[in-house]
Amino acid sequence: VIEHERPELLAIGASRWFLLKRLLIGSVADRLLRAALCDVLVIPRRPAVLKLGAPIAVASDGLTPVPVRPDITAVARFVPVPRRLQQHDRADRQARAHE
Amino acid sequence: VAERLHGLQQSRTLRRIVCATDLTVRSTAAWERAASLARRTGARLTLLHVIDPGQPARMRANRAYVELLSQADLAFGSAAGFIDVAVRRGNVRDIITRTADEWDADLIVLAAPKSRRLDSIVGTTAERLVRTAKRSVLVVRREMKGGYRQVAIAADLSSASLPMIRTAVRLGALDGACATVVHAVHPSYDGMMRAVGLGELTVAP
Repeated sequence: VIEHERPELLAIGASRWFLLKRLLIGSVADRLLRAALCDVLVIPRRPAVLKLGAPIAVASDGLTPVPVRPDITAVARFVPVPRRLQQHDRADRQARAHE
Repeated sequence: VAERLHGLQQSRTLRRIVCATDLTVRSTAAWERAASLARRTGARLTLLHVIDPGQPARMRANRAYVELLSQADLAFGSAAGFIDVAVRRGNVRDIITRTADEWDADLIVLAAPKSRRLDSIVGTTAERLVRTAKRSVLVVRREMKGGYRQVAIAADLSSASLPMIRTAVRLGALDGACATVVHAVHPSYDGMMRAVGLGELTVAP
């Protein structure tokens, strides 16, 4: 893509790997940093967090068309949103309100 | 999506950019880019130079201050008050990380590293910084010719991809740019497919 599209900037995510894994095989970010001929923006990855305001795709059985929240289009009745993610979501909402 | 992107752009809060420079020509593109981003987003800019611990500090520090101030003046002219200048001594990666934490920077900008023989083993400063910094890092390789017009975003479609794109928007990297989202897939059993005579286009179209 870099060769064909010739972008001026490449944005990539970077994970924080364990030392041994990093030493053995390196990361995609490392290799792109060396090889890319354009500017590279490396954005650290955060743990899987549901962010408010982002469009969220959730599996649906097609039987529950009423959205429970404006940013969630549908939620399958038999696939509850994990409690862990709800907690992340609440924390994000609080952080945003604080900002 | 357009509404959401517009909302994100409105709510952008890029407050601080730290630009690490070694005061060589190589870093010119980096601080020019950092200054351009700071001007566009209204963020404050910190120009940072790190002196190696093995070198005599005082004279180098004084000279570095003068050079950084002249760079600030060159980049911002009368508005150079928006730029902070810092000269510190110590391990380059640690100092950059610590300074970014101290100023609560949203973005660290630095020049692309020179390629040296041991880099493939120990990694360059930029690579080590990327591994350890909790902040976004922009490695500048090209001379600046205005804002970015073509941007490629590498996304692995994991839950981390969307926050990554949102961060790129928040940092102003996609302003007025034509963005391509790239998702690369390594084809399974490609070796076997090639072995039975399938062409390259069939294996990885």
